[in-house]
Amino acid sequence: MNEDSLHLAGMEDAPRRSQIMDSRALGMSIFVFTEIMLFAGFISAFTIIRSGAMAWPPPGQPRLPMEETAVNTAALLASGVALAIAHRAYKRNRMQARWPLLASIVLGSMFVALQGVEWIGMLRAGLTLTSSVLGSFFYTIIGLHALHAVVALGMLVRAWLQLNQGRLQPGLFLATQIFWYFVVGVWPFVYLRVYP
Amino acid sequence: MRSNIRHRSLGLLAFLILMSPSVAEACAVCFSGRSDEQREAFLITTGFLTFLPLILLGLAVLAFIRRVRRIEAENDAVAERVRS
Repeated sequence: MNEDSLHLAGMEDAPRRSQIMDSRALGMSIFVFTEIMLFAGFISAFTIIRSGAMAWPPPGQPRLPMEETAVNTAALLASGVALAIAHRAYKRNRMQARWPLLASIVLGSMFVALQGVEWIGMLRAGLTLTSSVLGSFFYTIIGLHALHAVVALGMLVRAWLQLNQGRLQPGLFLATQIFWYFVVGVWPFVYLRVYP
Repeated sequence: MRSNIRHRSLGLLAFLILMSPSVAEACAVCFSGRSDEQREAFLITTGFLTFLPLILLGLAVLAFIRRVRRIEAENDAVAERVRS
């Protein structure tokens, strides 16, 4: 709205309102809220099915590699910490956020790559989507998380590229952080419920 | 007298409705909820899924209130500086 149209609308003296939250960050928060409920539903269904099973893992199915996945978990958590450092650096001086943000991307990529390796091992051991209820839940829940991780990594890479070009907007960076913190934050719950 | 009979009938109807799902196995997962462990899992996950959205919404409202207060404090500080 230019000054003339403001005058015509009688709004020239209207007080300026401060934006409480960036629209992109608000939209992402609402999206993350729905995703938290989605994961909560899956984890609840898994808990009920598992509690009714006579033996776990089901006969003929491999045990999930909890110890090996601890390394992936550490990489993902470290990625979250690196992003928090990048956020602090961004507030001080935008360009200082480049290295911690890159570290976050590398650690996140490491998590996704190691998950891929783990999946290959599980498939070779006979755990498939249709082999048992464990396989169905494993590939659905962990696969859904991996899908979120890949999309969030894409957003982090885009943020990093825009940061290097000096055109990363704080609102977009905040929305990206919210999504990545969700990926990092939901993982320990998934890991501790599904893997043991 | 008539209202007393109506109240009792309503009470009986409510009782029958409350009792009927377990008899009829009307719930899609009733057939599998036989063991104590599974019953416990049903209760825990029901509580989890009931309270989780309330907790999340509560946290969002708290964050909103804190943010509004901070913005108001900043606006007041700016207004005070302009006046002085």
